[in-house]
Amino acid sequence: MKYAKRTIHYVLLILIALLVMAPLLLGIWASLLPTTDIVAGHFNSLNISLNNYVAAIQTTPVVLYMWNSLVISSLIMVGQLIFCTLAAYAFAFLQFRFKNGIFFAFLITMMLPFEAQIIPNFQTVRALGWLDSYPGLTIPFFTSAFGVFMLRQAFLQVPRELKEYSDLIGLGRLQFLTRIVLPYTRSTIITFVLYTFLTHWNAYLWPLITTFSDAHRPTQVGLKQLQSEDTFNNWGVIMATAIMVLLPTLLILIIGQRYFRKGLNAGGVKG
Amino acid sequence: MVSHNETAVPATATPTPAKRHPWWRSAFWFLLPSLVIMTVFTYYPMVMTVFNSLFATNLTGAAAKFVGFGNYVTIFSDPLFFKSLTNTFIFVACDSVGVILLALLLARLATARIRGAGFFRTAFASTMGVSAAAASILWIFLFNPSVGLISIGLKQLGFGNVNILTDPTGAMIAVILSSIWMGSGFAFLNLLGALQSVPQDYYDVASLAGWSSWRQTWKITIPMVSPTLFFLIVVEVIGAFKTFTQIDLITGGGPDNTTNFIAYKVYQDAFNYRNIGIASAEAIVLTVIIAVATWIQFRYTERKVYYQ
Amino acid sequence: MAIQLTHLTKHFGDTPVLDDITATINEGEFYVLVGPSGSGKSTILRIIAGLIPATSGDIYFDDKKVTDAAPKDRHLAMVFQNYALLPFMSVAENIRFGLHNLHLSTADEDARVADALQMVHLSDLADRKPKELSGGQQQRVAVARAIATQANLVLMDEPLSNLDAQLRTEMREELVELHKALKMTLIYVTHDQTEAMTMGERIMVLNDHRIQQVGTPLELYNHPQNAFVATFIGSPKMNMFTVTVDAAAKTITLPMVDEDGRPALIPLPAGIPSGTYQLGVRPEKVRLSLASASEYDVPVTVVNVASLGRASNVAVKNSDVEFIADIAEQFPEDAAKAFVTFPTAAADLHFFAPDTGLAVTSAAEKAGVTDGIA
Repeated sequence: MKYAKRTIHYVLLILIALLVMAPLLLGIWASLLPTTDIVAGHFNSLNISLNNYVAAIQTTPVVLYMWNSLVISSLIMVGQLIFCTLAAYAFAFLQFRFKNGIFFAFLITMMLPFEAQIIPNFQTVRALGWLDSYPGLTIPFFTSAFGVFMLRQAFLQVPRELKEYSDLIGLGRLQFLTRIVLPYTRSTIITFVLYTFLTHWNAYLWPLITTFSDAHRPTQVGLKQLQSEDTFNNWGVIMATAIMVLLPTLLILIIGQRYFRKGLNAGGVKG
Repeated sequence: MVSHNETAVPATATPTPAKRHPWWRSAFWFLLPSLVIMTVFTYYPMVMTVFNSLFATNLTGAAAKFVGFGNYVTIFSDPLFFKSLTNTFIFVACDSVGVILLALLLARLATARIRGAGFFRTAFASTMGVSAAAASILWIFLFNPSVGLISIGLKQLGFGNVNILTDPTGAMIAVILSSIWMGSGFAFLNLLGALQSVPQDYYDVASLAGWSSWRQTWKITIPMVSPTLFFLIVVEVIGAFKTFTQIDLITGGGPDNTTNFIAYKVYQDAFNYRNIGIASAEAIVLTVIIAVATWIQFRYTERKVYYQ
Repeated sequence: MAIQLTHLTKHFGDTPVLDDITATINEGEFYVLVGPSGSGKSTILRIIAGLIPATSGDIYFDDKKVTDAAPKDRHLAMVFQNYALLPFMSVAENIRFGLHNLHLSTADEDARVADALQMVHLSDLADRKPKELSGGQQQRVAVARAIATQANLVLMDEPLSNLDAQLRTEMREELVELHKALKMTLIYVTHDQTEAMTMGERIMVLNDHRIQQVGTPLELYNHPQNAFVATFIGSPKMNMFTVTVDAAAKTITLPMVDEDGRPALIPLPAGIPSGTYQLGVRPEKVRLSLASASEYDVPVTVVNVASLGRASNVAVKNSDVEFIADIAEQFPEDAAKAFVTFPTAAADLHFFAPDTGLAVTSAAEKAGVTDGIA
């Protein structure tokens, strides 16, 4: 009876896992097949090879797109880590006038959808001469209320005795932050950093309206570019580029899974 | 210089005034970088969007003529905007419910203590690692009338040569299906975390009291994960209202504006039709919807923090 | 290093925390601050450390005023209630990190870390993370971190309160021995009077933001200056009765009745004027017998017998007044009735004014105090 129950559970798990993974698995499978087989509906073909990937790298700018995404996501990640950490430190450890008011002003930006700000932001970035450039794609995202909030919550968990101890042994503010607070809260920091990277690697709307050339175009918009090119109906290569684009974030997710499971629960809004 | 004022003292404590830094000398510098970015790229554009929504704008996007609430009157008397709003709400409802139900099912299956559970957890979480754009490509492939497996399957089931994406209902279903898939990983991971943090003691006590596993689920599991569930519902609703990428890639808002959801309409009116005034008014409507949802979440999260 | 506190006060906003604290702590002394929670003892410790500023008053280390000095410039070490160990560093790294401000050579640091670990018997666990240690071991690491700095002044804030009872007793002895070996000035905060009595050379009793009394353990025990100290120090607690004194008749009227139902009287020592008092009698000074032996014996019903084997704590009652007799022998657990003999020596009867709670000292006892201190 128990054995039967367990078997049913496994069958159910495998079926549902297959169903959930189907779009991804099919995509990977198609990316290994020649387009001729795909168009002919021969999905059971065994002509698998990495030819589509070779073609994607040689004939499309997908590698350049990925490089752009890497640069953009990394810059934002570092920028947010510095800016959000500083603000979160002030809110968690310093006493100052208007603290609650300023904190509220930060929080309220979580209520304001970025989609409602893109028009003036586009005009601002254009006025600064930052269209189709790394600064225009990164600087507007150097801070986030979500990040400040998440890090502040983590910083508040640092026992006040550790602050007293660091005063006692003569650590300055910055040393307290870098040598005690950040290591102490490192699992939140890791979650935050991974999440920021993931979010901005996957960003779509802003690069869509501010990039016009392959030189700075990131992957997600690059996918649209490739998919919408009239001559581009080579399914094998399309799927290969899509898989290449999603592979880094998929790896981050698999490696960082346990951090996401614990960290994101702490509260906040999905990007 | 020691800063007495940064010692964490009880909440009622006010540091001695004489030993306090002037505010512009300490905390200010920690906040400045974030404040500058937020002022330029959040507060200012938000104010400008409100401002623009009250003006008729010319093709360069500059405010040309004050029209008061004219743009709002225009959009609310525009059947297309109504259609967009209605379809957005339908989409949001179906997507959120679908994501939560799927995630609950996945989390329930994945918490079983069996060998290989880790593999299945990774599998269920995997969609969170797939960007909306890449996911859209995967689903476009599935929906493609000539090579897509879903289309081929439907054909073999006797539906004939259907092009899902050019059929209004079909396109809506396609967008909902792909969006549920994209959102399930995130919701699953959160629910899994919540389910795993329910102390085993509760179940032990319940088992001793002879509760059925069904009763345990309803009386222990659901109440214990309800904060997370609520958090997820709000997050999914907010996310669904902002849905853009899938639309732009899979349907382009069509056919016949069926999937022209509000965030996409803002984009089209602003960047395709250069009607900044109208687009701004629509953006403000979106903002109000999102703000209300976020406010509910804050209120609730606050309570959650206090009573835990 | 000797510490002097002069007229320290502290307010958090409108909330008073400390009121006019003046005290001297001698070089090399094991000095305990004891009091119920909220009495301000931890605040005094943090003001001495410089972690929070006093509202007014001054602090002197030897003769140097340090009221406004930064914590790091006071060259002291502190052991925290929750240990404040850095969870991401090993035991040895934690101890070494505490030497940060001393700018020692690596070799010196190594030596100090090794010495400190040896002193707390943790040399084998140097590479463990705090999480991998038991509560008692973590506590030792915190102590080692403090002594490695070789500071002349070490502050300890309820360092044993997170340990279980048995470990606490062990650690008490170890800390006392450590202090004997190192001879630093040690200021120790606790809410536990047993800890204060067994460890402290001198004790400051705090309540209600004020100093109640400062003295050696026996001074506090034998000569409490007010009713708070009398009941706070000692376990089981001192019995307190509301009594009337008739100086002319040389009697004390207890709030109890004798066998005939008349108010119970006991003899009065010399020097207490007539009036109403709170009378404190230590439980071990209350004698208990199954048969009446003297006219002053008071009949009681036995409420509860807590047998410790070598002694018994017997709760007894007369006229709704319940009190404890702590006798150094076994007592029949099924006894229902008994007789109480109250002490007659002046030193065993502690009178307190009913309004102020201050001790009213008899002539005989005054003489005793002088002898005792000399």
